[in-house]
Amino acid sequence: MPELLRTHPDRCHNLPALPYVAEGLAGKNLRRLSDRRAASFALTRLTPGTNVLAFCTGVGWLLRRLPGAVVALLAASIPCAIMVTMLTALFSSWQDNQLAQSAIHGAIAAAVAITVKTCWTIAKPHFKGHARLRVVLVGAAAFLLYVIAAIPAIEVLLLAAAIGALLPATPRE
Amino acid sequence: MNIVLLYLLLLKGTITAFAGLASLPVIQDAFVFQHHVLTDKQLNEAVVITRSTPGPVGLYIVSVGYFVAGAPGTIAGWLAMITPAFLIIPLVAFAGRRMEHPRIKNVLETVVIASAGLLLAAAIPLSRDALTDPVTIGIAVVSLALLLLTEIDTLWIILAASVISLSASSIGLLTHV
Repeated sequence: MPELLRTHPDRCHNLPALPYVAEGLAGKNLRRLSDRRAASFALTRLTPGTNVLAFCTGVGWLLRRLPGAVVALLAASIPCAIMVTMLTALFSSWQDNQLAQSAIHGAIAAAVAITVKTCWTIAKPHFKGHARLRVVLVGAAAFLLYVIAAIPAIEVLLLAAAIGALLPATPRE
Repeated sequence: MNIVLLYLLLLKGTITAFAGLASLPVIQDAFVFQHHVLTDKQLNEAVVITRSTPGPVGLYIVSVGYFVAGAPGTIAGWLAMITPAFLIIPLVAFAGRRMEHPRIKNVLETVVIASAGLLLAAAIPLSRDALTDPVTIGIAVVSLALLLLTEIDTLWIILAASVISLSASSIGLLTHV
């Protein structure tokens, strides 16, 4: 499945990249996959971890079962993991380089902004209609439980899951 | 740190998150606060590295693995990153329609929203480490505004921030580096 490697170099930081990934993966089989691919799109959001990798694995499974899933996952993750490792090694070797540290310091300040913006990216799809109040309350409660009550993140997430099971279904707009 | 333990701790982060950086609070808890094998600066650097290379944001786990245990840590990070992806196979094969059940969707939505709140909380110690003078505070504020209001790629924002910081340092505005 050489299409997998050809697809990968696209910047795929976010879910909007998924249609391109799907096209690269499925090629001429795209129409054959269409219904189940749509299901795979939805299920990607429900799979823990990195959405793009789950999607590639799902489409690989639909195309060639387990070998397809394994090849898709490896092709989607290995090249970028190697690049990240090389850059991390560079960052580590620059610890005593004054010039590099000055540049990294600015980049790290930008990383804080990226982290804060990601909060909105995560919450935004749910922030609509009647669900807005729920987003604010659940988000604020998680924030306060972690910061003020010092409850570990994993326990806050488990608590959120329990509360989600008890809450009435969100009305759809 | 033992590689198996490293893998399991990283996996705890990835398996409980439904978006790239959403695992950051769990990772910060485990490695920065509990085991003290990672610093907030390194965690911030991992985010910078991931946003400067192609690939999903969740790759920062690989960077964290490297910072904690070198090359073997990279492999542990990569394995922790890819392991949850296999969960989609049973989802596609068996549970597809059941996952559309309103109550299950409700649980997942609540977890995702809570992870956004946790990520905001995790940004506090990260900003304490990173925003130490007016220049870096300015960079963070302008970067956030650009990220929220424009479609500029994060790579350009990171590069611009580096250049500004380097320039500020060369004229003596950054004294702590």
